[in-house]
Amino acid sequence: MSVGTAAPPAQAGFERTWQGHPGLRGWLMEVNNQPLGKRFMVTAIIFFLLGGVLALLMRLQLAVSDNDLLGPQVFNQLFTMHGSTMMYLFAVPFLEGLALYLLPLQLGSRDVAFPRLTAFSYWTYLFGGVLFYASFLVGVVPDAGWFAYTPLSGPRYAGLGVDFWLLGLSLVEVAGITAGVEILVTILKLRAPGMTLGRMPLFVWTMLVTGGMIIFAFTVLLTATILLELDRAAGMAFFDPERGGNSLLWQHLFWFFGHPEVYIAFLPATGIVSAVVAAFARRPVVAHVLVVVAIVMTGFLSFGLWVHHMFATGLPELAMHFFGAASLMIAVASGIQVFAWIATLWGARPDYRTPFLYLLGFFLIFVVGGMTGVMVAVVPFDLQVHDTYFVVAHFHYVLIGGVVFPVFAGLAFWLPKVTGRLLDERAGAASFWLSFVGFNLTFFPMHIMGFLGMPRRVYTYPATLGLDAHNLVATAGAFMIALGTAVFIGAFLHSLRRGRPAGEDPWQADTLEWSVSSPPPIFAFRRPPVARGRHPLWERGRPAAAVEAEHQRVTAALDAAPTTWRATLSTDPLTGAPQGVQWLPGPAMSPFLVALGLLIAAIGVVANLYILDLAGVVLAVGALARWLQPDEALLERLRQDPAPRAAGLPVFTTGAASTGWWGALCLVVILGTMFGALLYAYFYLSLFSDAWPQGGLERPGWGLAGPATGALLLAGAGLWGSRRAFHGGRRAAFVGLLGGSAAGAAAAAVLVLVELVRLPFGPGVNAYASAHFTLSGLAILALAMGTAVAAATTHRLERRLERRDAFDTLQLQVTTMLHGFALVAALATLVVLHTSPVLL
Amino acid sequence: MSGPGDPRAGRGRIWVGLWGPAVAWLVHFLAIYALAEFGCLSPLAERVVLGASLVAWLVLAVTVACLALSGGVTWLAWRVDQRLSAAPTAPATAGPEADPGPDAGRFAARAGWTSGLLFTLIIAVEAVPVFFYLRDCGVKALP
Amino acid sequence: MRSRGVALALLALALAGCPAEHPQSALHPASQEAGRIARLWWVMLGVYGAVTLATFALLAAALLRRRGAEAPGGGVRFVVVAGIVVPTVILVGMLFYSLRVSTALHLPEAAFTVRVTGFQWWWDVRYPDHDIVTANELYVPVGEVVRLELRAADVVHSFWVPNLHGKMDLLPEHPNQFWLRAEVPGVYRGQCAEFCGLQHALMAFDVVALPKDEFERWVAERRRPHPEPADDELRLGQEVFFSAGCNACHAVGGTDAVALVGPDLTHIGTRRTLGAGTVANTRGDLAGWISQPQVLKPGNLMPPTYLEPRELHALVRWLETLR
Repeated sequence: MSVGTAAPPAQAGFERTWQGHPGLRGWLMEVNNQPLGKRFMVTAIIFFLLGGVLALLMRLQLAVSDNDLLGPQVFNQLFTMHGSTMMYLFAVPFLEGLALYLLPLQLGSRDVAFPRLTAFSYWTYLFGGVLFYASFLVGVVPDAGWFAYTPLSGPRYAGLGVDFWLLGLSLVEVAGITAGVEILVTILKLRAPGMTLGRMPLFVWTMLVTGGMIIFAFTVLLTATILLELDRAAGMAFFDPERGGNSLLWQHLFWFFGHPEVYIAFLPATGIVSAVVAAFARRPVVAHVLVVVAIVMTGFLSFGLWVHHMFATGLPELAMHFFGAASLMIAVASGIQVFAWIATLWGARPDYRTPFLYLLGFFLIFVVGGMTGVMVAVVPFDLQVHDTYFVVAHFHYVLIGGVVFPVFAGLAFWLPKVTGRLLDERAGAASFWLSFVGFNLTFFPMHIMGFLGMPRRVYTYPATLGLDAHNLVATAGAFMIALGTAVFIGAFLHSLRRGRPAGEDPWQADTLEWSVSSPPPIFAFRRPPVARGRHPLWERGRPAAAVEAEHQRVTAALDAAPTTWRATLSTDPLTGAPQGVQWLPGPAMSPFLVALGLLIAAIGVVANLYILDLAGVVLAVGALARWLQPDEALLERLRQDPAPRAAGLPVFTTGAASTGWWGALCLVVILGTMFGALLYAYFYLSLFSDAWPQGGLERPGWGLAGPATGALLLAGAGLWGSRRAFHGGRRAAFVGLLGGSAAGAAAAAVLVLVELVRLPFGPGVNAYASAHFTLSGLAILALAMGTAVAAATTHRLERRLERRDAFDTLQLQVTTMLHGFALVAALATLVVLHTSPVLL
Repeated sequence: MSGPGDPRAGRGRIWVGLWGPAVAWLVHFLAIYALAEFGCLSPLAERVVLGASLVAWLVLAVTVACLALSGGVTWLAWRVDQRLSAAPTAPATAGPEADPGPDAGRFAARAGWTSGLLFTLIIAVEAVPVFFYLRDCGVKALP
Repeated sequence: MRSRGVALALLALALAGCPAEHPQSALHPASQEAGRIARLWWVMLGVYGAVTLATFALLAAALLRRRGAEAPGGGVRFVVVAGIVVPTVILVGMLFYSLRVSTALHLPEAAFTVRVTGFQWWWDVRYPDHDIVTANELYVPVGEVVRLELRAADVVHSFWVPNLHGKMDLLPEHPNQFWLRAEVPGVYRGQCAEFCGLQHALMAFDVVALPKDEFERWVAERRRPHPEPADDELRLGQEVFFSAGCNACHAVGGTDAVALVGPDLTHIGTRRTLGAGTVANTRGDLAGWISQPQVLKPGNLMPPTYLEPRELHALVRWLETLR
């Protein structure tokens, strides 16, 4: 399966097709997962180093009691930016970058499912991070903490810094969500033939679950940040207690994201650990099924822990103990993984090279962090240590031990694949020992500091608390960690020029990425590989089964083919059986332009320049329309190409066999989550209100909502009928029904809008009004999306109805999902908004 | 591939078996959270029937229903695993951890009943606190 | 690696020896409540410390075994027992224990109620049953349950006196209830534990636990009206208080000063600290606080007051008589 170096002339076209464009323009238009994955990782590491510098400054301020080196203002900015950088700009983006780079190589695919989305994700991430740090240039650095509790982060108490924070974060969240979709669909759809669900590597499993978690968790955070920005920029009252808002609502929404976030970072790290353990033990990870189950369990249970950050807020104790119990049980999932790794290493006599050293560091630190984790899950105990340095110690043990150490193990493990060069072992060992010892010096004393009365987020502490010695040791340790990191970075830079060549498989590991050259060719696999077991590279000698012979035939047909367009195999999510030849886009400017439009709009909000917002939105929507516009000439070329026919596979697939269907499903889930989060906010606000609507506002009537409901029902019927007309080939009926459905949705949107305009109160009157306007507004936006999609589909499919093929069917399916979702969501919103004030 | 070893024959059952227990847990957890957060501040918490508040009774009812759901799915996945393991296409070396071969259904069924056992256990453990708060939710907020 | 758990235990034991040096410590309980939680911690340290050591021992065994050895009981069974069965038994046991501690920590019958309101960055303290208003300190009788009604005037704060109890947030929406029951007379330091803005670090307070009779005397003294200014300087001080505008923000019981923006100064003369634990309440620091509050606690709401030295001295003297 290895790739030769000299390409015969017939293959030159294939390689040329996969090359990106040269120059700056080509750099902006890049869509391939390998360069973009590397950019993600490099950018994330730069933010990691920045966040580390901020931490060192904090440790200097805290080195002695009553210190006035930095003062409160700067210190609060530092810890806000440190936490935000590490959580939002380093941990998740780095792991997403690693996944985007590595997944196609491990799965046996040539790229990820939506390459342009990769580019969009990278640019929004970069722009979001830059916007975060631009606050330093303007001198209004965010200072409300990485958790931005309301009302402290609201318009009354926080300045422009929090706007930078919210808008930068929104961009980073959009980047995270799109990368999550990318990861999910790639894993489900683009696996090597024969890679059944049971044969997926454990790293892939962790990313599958992480991708799903990101979609839910980040979407809730995105919703929350939008609500807070509406409070700040548009005078709404979601979190303003004086106008019926609720500060705990923010805490619920934030931690519904915030706790899964920890596991979003931790699960991929366990995937790295499983990969490194298997390679160093030279045997499969023991109890594979149990480990998979533990990964899935962690993903689900992580959504049942959010209140354990709120044990001191005075919620009903019964509710808190449910979360306490869930927090204890998630330890079982971690226990399964830890003991599976120990069993795998039993008698394996691994080489203590750099990846394995970092892995041992992970074990020793993470186990301690896990133990303090089940401690803080205990409600009465948490009442003492919550918001103290005990918790600071705990989560650094979990996040540095459980994420950063595995990340460094993973870097030492996979960098030879990425760069083709091995790290220097002595430098690697030195960096490990410095980091490990420095880590424990820094964070172990913090457990005790917490007990002795040091709260979190204080810029100073009195000498009477008796904490000077502990803090001084911690500061010294922090500089040791910095030194260890510097040695690692130095070793990496050194390896780029002087490192020993790594060869294909320096660790004799088992997964497919080790079957290609280091660094891999941009198309990863000239001939798509066949997965012949859970550990393809360890099972090369095994005799082939009948199914595998068929898979070999398919992949042979795609050896260095097609030559004029990028393609990879799409396979069945469960069985890994080939289902189609998936077209993949080449270089494109539109992702960059959409991201740029979002950045401009965000700057417009920060600067209060609404003309900029308009310009940004126009740019983003225009570029997006161009991006989504089907290229008829290209489609025709794909239909004619011989390669798919040789493989006996279709170019266009429909339903669950196609990537587009899964992408649309993800979008529906994301939008559904936004509606869900807003509905939760609506009911949560009503729970703490004496009257609903608040403040004696009039209940919304059915005068306009009634006709809107009727229009929605008619639009739904039209959509349903249009599918039958399409399959029956009845053009007039199809155009009338789908076009009518689009018009019905538009009419409903207008009616809802008119109802809002005619309300005797504005959205800022109280929290009820804010929730009512925002939910209605989201319904209008959803209907606008549904209308646009349905109208565009009507327009295109009208001309294709006689020659309709699978691509056209897929377009109608996707339209049905998006438009249908908009209709259902709008209908549900109308019903809730107009009935709940009567019922509550 | 055809016959009982063909996952396509029972694809729906395989997906239900794989994700069902997790979904049962999710439904249970969100339900008991909502009961405790919203119910404890409502008149439900004050109505005591047969020694326990209505909130506690509802939590118990939801728990029993979700245990039944999760247990049922576990049993279903176990049955699928048994049936697929007995199929002629199954590899001879079918230990509990052996590579399941190209037959993805067996892996899914096995993962399904394993996770089913664990999620059932977790649902049961998470309901334990209600026995300590049968009459009183421990509300600290003052109206 | 193994020594870490031991070191933790030893360190913690060493710390437990000297209560007087730790005015803000969760491991030096002076009440049943803090005692229960501290005991919970020691039990958890023992149990989870043992689990940690056992895990490290297994890892060491795995790495030191001869090549080709299998985990005890075979791979999968080892994972099931060590990763599922044993943890579940331990965790469910700890769940029951923690639920028992939690139900034991339910609000007992209270002797009286104190209302504590958090402001950026100080504490307003009111005894409605005794008609006493003060700030940044809480006097309580030893052995009696004092019910607290906690609320926030602006942003979220958190009330925490680790020697006496865990913490409870002060929210802007609605009050939360909490309580203290000091068993040992003494002064316990508390501090805001929820990040509340610029001077979150300088938002401390003292809980002074007095024997019951001393507490009764404290109440009686606070309820006695202030004497009229006894000399010219004190009269000048009182005049300056109003002419310099102190009354725009501060209240003094028995006078026309009733503003609620800053801490109530009715008993400022007996206050242990100034600026919510920022400095001790000495004559020099009081004068310094009045003239340059932004130097001692930058960002607090109080503006500097420019007074003639004679006026400042008179004002400080008058404030000292407010007891």
